[in-house]
Amino acid sequence: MKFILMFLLAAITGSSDLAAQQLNNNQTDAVKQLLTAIEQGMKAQMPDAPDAVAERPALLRRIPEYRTLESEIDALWIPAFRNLATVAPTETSQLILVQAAGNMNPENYVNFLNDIASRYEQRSISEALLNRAINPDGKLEYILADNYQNRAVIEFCQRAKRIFANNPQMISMFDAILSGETEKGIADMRRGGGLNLPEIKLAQRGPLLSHTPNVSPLPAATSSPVPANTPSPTAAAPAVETEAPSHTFGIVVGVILVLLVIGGVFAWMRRRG
Amino acid sequence: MAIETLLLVPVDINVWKAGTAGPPDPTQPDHGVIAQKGDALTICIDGTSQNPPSIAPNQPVWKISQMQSDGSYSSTWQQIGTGPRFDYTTTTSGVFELEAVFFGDDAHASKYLRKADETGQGQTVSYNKKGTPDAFGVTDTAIQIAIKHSAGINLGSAAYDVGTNHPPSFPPGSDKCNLFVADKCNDAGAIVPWINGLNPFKPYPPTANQWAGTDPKNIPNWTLLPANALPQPGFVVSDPNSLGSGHCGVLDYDGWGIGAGVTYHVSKRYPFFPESRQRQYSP
Repeated sequence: MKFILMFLLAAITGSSDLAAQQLNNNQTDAVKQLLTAIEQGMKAQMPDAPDAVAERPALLRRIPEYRTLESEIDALWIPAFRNLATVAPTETSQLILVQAAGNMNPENYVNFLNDIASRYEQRSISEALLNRAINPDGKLEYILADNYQNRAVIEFCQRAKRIFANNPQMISMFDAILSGETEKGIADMRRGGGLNLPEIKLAQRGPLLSHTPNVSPLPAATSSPVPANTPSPTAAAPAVETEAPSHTFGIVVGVILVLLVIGGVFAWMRRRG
Repeated sequence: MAIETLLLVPVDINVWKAGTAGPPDPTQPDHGVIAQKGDALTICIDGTSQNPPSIAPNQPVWKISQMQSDGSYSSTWQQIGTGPRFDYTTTTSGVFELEAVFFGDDAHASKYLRKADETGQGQTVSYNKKGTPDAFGVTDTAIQIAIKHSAGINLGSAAYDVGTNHPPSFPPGSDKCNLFVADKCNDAGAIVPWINGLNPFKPYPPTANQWAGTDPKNIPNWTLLPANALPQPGFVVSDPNSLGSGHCGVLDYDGWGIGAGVTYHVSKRYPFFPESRQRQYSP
């Protein structure tokens, strides 16, 4: 009896993993198709310099597929970055993804930054891309400064300081963010009419970075944008909360099925007895 | 072999301001041919030679095409002169591509091309490479040329990176594209009033959205041009962003915007596009 139940549980768990994998594959394909269409749209806008379009979100938004990517980015960024080498093999296509992330749900953004930082440390993305992620061109533009007292933001800024240990300007930037100096300047701009971007406050949470790292192993990078002596990430592993629902759903379905089977077995045994 | 056959091979074209030493050094950050309307440009085939090749005196026919408000070039090519070397007195302001047509063969016209990859940007870009079409710029006013130079000599500079500190108004972590524009225009003598800020000791220059006119605050002495205005070097160009703070820069000789970005040093990465609006200094 015990073995039968274990077999059933294994089968159910396996099928939910398969379903999750299928979902992941579908999302990966969806991102790939969107990026292909966006790059075609960029070429149509500027045949001689399509890459320049990727630097201007206002231009990207003229492409319907980019607007779709932007609206779906909260669900798509994890599968997209997990399969980055396949989905977005060029820096331009990676930049498109990062640009779209500039308007993601603010609650996902710090997780996204940690993921990007890990990829930078693993030499799979360029410093320019990390810079763009840290300085998004959209509603999240000043989210780090606006949330300088948020635990997750503090942890990310500390991590970024370690990543940019050899860059005094970046260190001073993150110091200014952490001290609240940047927030004060931004608040002055808002009051004085120099900035119309509304403030976004993140919910204060527990220690996000205690979560299990969820960044998948990355394929070997073809080129190395990071100096060999870049400090390796130890303390700061990314927390990808948005990945939890597919696993949770699978587990819940599995447990319900197991309980139904157990209930059925008990009912059958009582009837016989 | 007939000379017509020989001239199917593209010829090298050079342009420089008449009366100056010759073509600008394309490896310098602030290169590019620029003139004020009414100034003459020397246009020549076969490099800087003082003795251009001896071909029929009425060949080639020189034609220009003007950059439109959306950044594309007009499909209409206007004839401006003939001969292997001549001085063209500019009559219209704008940004122009140039070609030499031999014996009426428009299909095989030789284009005026970039002599080197765009330099001074801090990072390599995949566009504006050596061998792609170049342009020359003509301005309404002398101060536009000064504004263009003021911005151009900063190409590659890290002085306006997002991590820099410009007290009292721009702490590290704040975008500084509008500070770059205000500083460079002021350096050139085109006064940009710092119109924002409640504290008189802590003012701010106009934002990108204000330059673009989507934030309606007035910028004295700077005329917001119609959306279909043809680009000129030395205009301030701005890309509004309703979801962010936008981006602004100064138009270079070839109609590309020079700006201080958040990802790169001062660079020339911004082609002109319909979302953008331009302003001209008109005190």
